[in-house]
Amino acid sequence: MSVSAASLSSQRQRVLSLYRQILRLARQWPGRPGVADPATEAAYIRTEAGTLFRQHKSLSDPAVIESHIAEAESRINLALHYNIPYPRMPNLPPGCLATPGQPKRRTARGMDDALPAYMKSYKSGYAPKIK
Amino acid sequence: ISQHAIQRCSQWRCYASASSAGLSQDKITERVMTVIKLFEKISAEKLTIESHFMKELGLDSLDHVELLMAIEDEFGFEIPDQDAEKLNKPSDIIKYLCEKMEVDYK
Repeated sequence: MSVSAASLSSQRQRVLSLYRQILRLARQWPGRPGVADPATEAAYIRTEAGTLFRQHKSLSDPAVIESHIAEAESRINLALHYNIPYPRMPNLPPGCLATPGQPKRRTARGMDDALPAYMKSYKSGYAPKIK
Repeated sequence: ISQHAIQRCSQWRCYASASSAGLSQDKITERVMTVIKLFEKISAEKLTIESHFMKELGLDSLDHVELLMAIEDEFGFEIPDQDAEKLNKPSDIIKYLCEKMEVDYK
């Protein structure tokens, strides 16, 4: 799949402006009075963004980068909507799985596929699908 | 962004006009270099006014964004994206700030 230099650099600009947007969000983070301290949550936003962006720093496939950009945008929108910067973790009660203990590979893949877009970076040890 | 920079930036107040605050290129230079020195990913020994952030000081583009955020916090106004990508050396930042704050740049 050939990729032009223009699309790579414009993706890079989008990623950097997303990072900038997240840092600006952290600056003015209102928090939830009585429930959450704005400074703690702002610090969480900065460390989370820094960790996740650097984790995927050396990705090269544009489709994968697009899906991570979508992940970042969805997390930003959710944080703005609910005023909660933390992702909503999926819930898997112990009695859910047919075979007890760690899920088998097929089940694990099904569980990973069922995760929403904003949980993409939290999927463990799983190679992304390349179209 | 280091906590020291954030605490320190909250102690500064930025005034609207350069003349009332007595802003000069030297003061701007001093403030910019202080902010950059407080940035923990930069080693103070290699830092000069003309050192390139990415090529000589070893920052990546995400660190560059964070550094410009610290500069924005210090001086109190936002730097738009298309201007930000051109600010690759401390001297570029000083020149840009002098233009924005209408201080004579030599």
